[in-house]
Amino acid sequence: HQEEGEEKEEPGPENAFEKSPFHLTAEDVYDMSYVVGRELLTIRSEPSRTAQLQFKIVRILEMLEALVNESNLTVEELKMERDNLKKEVEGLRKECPAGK
Amino acid sequence: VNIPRKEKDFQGMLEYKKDDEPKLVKNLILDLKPRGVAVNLIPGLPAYILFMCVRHADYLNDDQKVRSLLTSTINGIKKVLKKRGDDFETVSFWLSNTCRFLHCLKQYSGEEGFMKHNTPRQNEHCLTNFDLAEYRQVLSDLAIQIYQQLVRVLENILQPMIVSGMLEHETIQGVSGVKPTGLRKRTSSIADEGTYTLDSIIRQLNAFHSVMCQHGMDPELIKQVVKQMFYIVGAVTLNNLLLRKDMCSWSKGMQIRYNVSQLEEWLRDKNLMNSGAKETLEPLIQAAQLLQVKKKTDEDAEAICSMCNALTTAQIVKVLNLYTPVNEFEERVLVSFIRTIQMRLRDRKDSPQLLMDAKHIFPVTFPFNPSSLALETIQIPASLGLAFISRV
Repeated sequence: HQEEGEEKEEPGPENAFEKSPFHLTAEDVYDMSYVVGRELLTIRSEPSRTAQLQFKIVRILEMLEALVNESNLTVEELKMERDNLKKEVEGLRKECPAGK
Repeated sequence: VNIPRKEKDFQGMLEYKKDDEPKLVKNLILDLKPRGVAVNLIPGLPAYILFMCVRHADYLNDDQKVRSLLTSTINGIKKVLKKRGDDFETVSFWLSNTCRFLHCLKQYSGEEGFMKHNTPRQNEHCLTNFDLAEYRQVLSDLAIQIYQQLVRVLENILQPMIVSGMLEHETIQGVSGVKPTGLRKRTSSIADEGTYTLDSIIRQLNAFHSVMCQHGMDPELIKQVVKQMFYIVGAVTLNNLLLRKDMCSWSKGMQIRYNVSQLEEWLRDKNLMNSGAKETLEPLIQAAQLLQVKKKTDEDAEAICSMCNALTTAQIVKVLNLYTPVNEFEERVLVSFIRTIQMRLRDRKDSPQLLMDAKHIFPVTFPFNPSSLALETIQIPASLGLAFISRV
């Protein structure tokens, strides 16, 4: 009952689709979720089949969210690990400046 | 091969054990994040789920369960708002969902007045045992309270931006006699050198609007929020104009009119021209015009008196008194001119009010907004952690 009409797309949420998958954050997944949800609402011909599709998409996005969160966490961990190792190397170099 | 399950197997109700009620309230209200996959894809989902739980308790004719669920729901929402009530997203989310819950209780009340837009299937979903009109009243009061909280939160965010963005920051270069102190502005940083610009205000309005849309807030309610925001911007700006001599010049008038036109442009962009928001800026617009018109002859005085119908006599006189010429082509306003204006406005029955009440909140209404969503198609997304409730 609340047709908003297809006005200009919000520059915000739509942007998530343009991103590289490897730069995706959970926030982007939420934006995608909103955009897809809004578009699903405009399909009215077969409500029950649309609804089934809707909840499958919810599941896919839930999975995507989990993957994005997990991979961001892993990247963070690896970066910290790398930085620690770098520091260690620098420390060792300073201790024996001869290098060998 | 996937054989689609026949949705008519489900009646659009949700069942839970009485002992699980605290868990339901915890996962669906207390711990639910206002941003997430499920609630973003289906705005209002928590409200629909809660209503489907109410439906099953009604179906069981279990008045104790209905009462207990409604009480816990209301208390749960209050608790969230007490804890995270200064977060715009949280408040907007629960305002939207409280309204949606209220709409559901009406749409499926079985009262004919609320059933006009229902499908036959939706009509089968009406409550059969209990009249929840009294609870609707409680929920409506709760929604009013949440709305007021929302206004306070957005006011706190906007307040520090207004004077800087609407009055102090110069968007048009070279009209005022004063040279900007060396800093050139980049077009789009949140605040240049720590000061807010009109851009910061517009970006903030965008952020508010986008959050409310994502929460599926009723379009009629969004209009009221926007009107309230514009009122705050207008009132704070005008009050500062009336208090500061350095703000009353021809070039400030120009600046304000430009800024107002940008705000109007924003309304047009968002399809909000019929929200009443523009009208709340009228006193500010007239004050800006007053800064720009000629202020010398009797004809000028007459023009001013017919133009400034949204300003009180006190406000008009104050602006004229504060008016400071920016260059040699302008002159001070003569005392005799101000006297003329006062004489002309003597018969006007207006308030002696000088400053606007920037804290004023327009009374809010929640027009009934039924939804086309079919309850029997709703599933419970796994991320909500509600595996202990089942579809009926």
